[in-house]
Amino acid sequence: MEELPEKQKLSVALRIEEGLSFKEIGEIIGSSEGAARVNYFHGIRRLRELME
Amino acid sequence: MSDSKCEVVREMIPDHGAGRLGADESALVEAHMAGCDECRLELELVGLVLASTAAVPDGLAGRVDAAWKGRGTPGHRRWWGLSAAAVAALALGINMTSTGTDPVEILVPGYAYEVEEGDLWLSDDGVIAGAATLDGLSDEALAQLLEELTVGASGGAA
Repeated sequence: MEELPEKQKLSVALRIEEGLSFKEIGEIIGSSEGAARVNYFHGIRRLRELME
Repeated sequence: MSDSKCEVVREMIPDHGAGRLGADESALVEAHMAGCDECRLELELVGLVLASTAAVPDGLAGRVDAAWKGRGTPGHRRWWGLSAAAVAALALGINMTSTGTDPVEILVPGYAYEVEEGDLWLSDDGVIAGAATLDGLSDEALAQLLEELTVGASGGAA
């Protein structure tokens, strides 16, 4: 997780650990719902690459 | 196996991994996972993320809470109801100092509680994170990017 940029890290943490919706995450990180969703999947993809 | 159902299931994987889904939805996810290595791998990743948060030391959440309360709560600040444990985890990863048994100075990242609408996201890696670009994209562009991230990732390993 430390490898991720802050917005991606927050999006992943808030979605997985807190179960927040992407709309709620967007409000927290100051992004749109769509941008929060993309940040999340960007983060997940990056974590997968780091694992491989 | 990788099909359009992956897009639906992937939205549910975090909640499934954390046990937040109902029985019907969990059964749907499990049924899909039985034939989809991609989504199964993603569930494993979610499990690792959840497991990593278990390392937050006992009592830290309370101290973060206390630190937060000690800062005062100017009227313009907003709080989104994040649990103290979540903030603790974020603080651990981003900006926290501890000196054993000494009083702990906890630097809760400002953006965790005081982001205002229209505020800039000040981050060294903002460009990498897409902060400077994602937020300016149209819904259509975001949808296309999302498709590349999800469908593209599935297709690569199918």
